Amino acid sequence: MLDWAKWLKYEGFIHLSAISVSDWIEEKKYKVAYLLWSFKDNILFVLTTKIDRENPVIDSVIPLWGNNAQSHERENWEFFGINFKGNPNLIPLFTENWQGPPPFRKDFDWQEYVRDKHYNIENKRERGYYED
Amino acid sequence: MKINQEMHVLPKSNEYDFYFGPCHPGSGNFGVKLKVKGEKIISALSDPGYLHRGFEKLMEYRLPLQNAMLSDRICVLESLAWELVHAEAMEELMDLEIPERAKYIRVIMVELSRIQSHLIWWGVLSAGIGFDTGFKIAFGYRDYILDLFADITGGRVYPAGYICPGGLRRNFPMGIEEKIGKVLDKIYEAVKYIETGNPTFLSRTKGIGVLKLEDAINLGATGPVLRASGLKTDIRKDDPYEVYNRFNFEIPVREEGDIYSRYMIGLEEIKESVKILKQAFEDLPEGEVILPKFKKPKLNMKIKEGEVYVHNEIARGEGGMHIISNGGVRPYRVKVRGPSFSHMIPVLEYLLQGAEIADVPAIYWSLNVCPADLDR
Repeated sequence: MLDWAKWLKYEGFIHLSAISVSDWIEEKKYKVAYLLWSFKDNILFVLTTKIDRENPVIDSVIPLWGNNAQSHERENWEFFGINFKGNPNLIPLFTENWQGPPPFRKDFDWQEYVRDKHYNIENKRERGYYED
Repeated sequence: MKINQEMHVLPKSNEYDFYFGPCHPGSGNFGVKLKVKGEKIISALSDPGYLHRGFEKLMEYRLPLQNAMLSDRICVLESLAWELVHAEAMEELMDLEIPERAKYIRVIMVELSRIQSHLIWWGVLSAGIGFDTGFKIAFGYRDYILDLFADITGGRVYPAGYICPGGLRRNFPMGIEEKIGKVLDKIYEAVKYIETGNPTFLSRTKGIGVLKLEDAINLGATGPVLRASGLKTDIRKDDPYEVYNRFNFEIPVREEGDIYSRYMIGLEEIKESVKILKQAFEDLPEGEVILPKFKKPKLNMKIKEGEVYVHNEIARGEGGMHIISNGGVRPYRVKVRGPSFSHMIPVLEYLLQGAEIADVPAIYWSLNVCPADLDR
């Protein structure tokens, strides 16, 4: 993957728009898509790779796209639990004191999590969240 | 005597932590943790997340028509532009060709949205450097455009899914063209105010917060921030969507990369937007604005299996959506690429290094940021 990325950067895809991860739970894979744009040729290129879902590790692209890639990787580390090898600063961006599993995984049920963590069935005003 | 002795004891170091935001009127729902030595900033660390609503996850649980409503909440300051990004992505997935009139009205709405967003940009930048009159003028003139939005869409700030997959929720009301014409005259008035070279304004903006072109590209800057650093790029020209390829307009570019040049880019872009609006009204065709299938949409409408990335030139830079569908009624995964993500984390952290404390709000607002589209 990194060789492809190097070649693309050399060919002029110097702008990394985003790193988009999707969770394919039946295949047990994460699909990692790098959305690249070339200012020279005005072409969009999507570089996609699949990695194992249970032990997600992938090489960091910081050497190619610098600090921009660093923050995109931080986001995906936080939401999907992907370990970007070589990224020195994987700390949470959005969540604070997050205890649960990575929240954007398909098997994470946010409604159940919120009911367990933050609502009380005894409370009259919150009882509605427990009725289906 | 004892008191005097105590007063002479200085702390061992004058380094300390300084929190800019989130409860600061000059930062929005966003914080920056600064390490400061005297008045100089040694390092900065962005602290987002105060506005995180999890839209990307929420959209997986909603139908495209409900998502049109969610998409305008991604950024408060330019909701119509984000609606367009979502609608275009859905149309590309569903293979839809929308009516010609709808395309023109979309361009008109998005350009009006760009003008009001740039007015806010100038307003908050003025407030950031202590020029409160500018803030009031900008928000006053912005209100004329918000009134237009209320007439056309029904909502001043949130148009509630006006630009939806398949076209537009409703046609232009009677006599709106004259009203828009009058508002454009008002915009010229506002531009005159913005153009005044207030010496205090100039001294607070020229040569401060300089972003060189090479750094801008490495840090992922897009849109007006990148253009102010010297790269001529605009998705409306480079990868045209809707009917932008039919209009004549210029891409303003400047070389300096400082706060002043970013502010000038915003000013030039307002003028270009007015040009586009005038051309769009000249060619505006008659006809329907929504596909018949979407007039009364069925709730079990399936989205074709596939993957699409749509990016538009919104006022802040590149706004994009990467949507994956597995053939169900709801999208399987939605990834939102907000321009402020790059501008508020890597670019801001880089620019604040070595700056003075007093310049923090000026640099911050000169990047045309919106914490809402960063947090999503």
